[in-house]
Amino acid sequence: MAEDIERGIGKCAQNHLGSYGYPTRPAEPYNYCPACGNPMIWRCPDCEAALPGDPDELKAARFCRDCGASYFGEDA
Amino acid sequence: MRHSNRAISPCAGPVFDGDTGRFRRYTAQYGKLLTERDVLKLEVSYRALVILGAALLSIWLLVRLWPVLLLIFVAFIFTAALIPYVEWLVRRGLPRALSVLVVLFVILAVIGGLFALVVPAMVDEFRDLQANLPEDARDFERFMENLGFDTENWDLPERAERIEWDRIVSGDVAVDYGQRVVIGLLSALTVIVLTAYLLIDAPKMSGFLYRFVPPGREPDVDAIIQALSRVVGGYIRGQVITSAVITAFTLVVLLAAGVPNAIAFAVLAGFADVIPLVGAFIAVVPATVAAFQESPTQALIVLTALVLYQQFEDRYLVPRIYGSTLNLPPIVVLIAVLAGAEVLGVAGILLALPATAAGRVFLDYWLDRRTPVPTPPGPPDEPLAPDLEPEEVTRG
Repeated sequence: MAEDIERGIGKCAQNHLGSYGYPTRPAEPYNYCPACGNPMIWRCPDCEAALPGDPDELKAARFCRDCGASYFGEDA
Repeated sequence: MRHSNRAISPCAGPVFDGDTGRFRRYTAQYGKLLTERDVLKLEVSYRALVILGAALLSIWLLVRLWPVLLLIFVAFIFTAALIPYVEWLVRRGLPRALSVLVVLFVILAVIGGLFALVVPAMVDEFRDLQANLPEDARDFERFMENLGFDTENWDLPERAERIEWDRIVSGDVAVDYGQRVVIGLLSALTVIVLTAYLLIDAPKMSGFLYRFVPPGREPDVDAIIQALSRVVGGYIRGQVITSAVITAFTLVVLLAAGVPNAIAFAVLAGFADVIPLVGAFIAVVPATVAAFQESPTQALIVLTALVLYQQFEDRYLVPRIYGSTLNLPPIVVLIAVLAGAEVLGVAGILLALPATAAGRVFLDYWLDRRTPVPTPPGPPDEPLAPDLEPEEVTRG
């Protein structure tokens, strides 16, 4: 069933959002942003914690809420 | 150098008027000068014209297709209410189409059974009422007289005898009601078929919906669909519970009071409970009238019990069953019901609450989107101001 497929959203350093697992989207997380070519992140690069599930929160987030690591290696 | 007004050609563009310090335009039609403030320029792009045309076409289609859209809207509401049960059967291994058929069959069987119970009993009750009305009116006058009312000029039995029942229940009126019943049945059949299709195709439809959503925004769609399903489905399920409770309570009261056709009146109260505001009136009056045919005292007992129950339902039961599902202020409910009645009649009254609750879901989403999301705090161990030593940071 469609509900059993893993789904997720991620973003790149330019704050372009992406998604996988939804109908008409790639089935797996992809490596680079189709809009700007920057690497995409789908989990915290440091502790593998999930990114915020809400798109607006994800856009605003720059650091992992679990370990505090910067998502894109920038300073606070 | 000063410009003379006469020197301006009718075809000339705006010229500077040294007297006033403003640009002026000469109009050939009236032979007078206008200031720039008087000239209204309207520049419409092709895009705006296309949007305007599309908007007008949409309004025209909306008006023309309104009856069809209404049926689709009702089917969507039923779909939202029934989809959890279909999914429950699908999770237990039943094919989706069969699950939909089972759920619809059970619901139609229950509703059909209730109608089969109510309609013949209501016809009997109406015949009894017709035959006994003058006698009942005489009893009522006597009862009111005992209470101290001056009933000398009421003439209720004579008025009851003068009612021309044939004119009320036959001829054009009967044909008109017959047509309405046929149209209502056809509409109900259409809604059932549409609901079945929507329930079967729900997974495909959600896939189609995602096509219009930008990448990364899918969780917003999920949240809206879940909220709509919770609010609209929760309303329908809550309504089923309150209808069942009022049916049981009315049945107990009428049986205790020895009112004939108790089951029919109880089921009628259950159906009437679906209608906001006026439903209470419909639930109470026929049962009271039937009790009155037995005796005024029985009528008084039934009336008191049912009115008290309405208060109990409004103040205690509904807030606990619905909880925050609808969360609509009473004034909004009243306005929604009045507007629904004005626009769509009885269908509008029935749809007013789920439609308003669904509207609230979209309003909440829009308001949430307007509220900026606070930027999450930095790493927990990082000092507030990295350039300062911790002891140098003071709090005002």
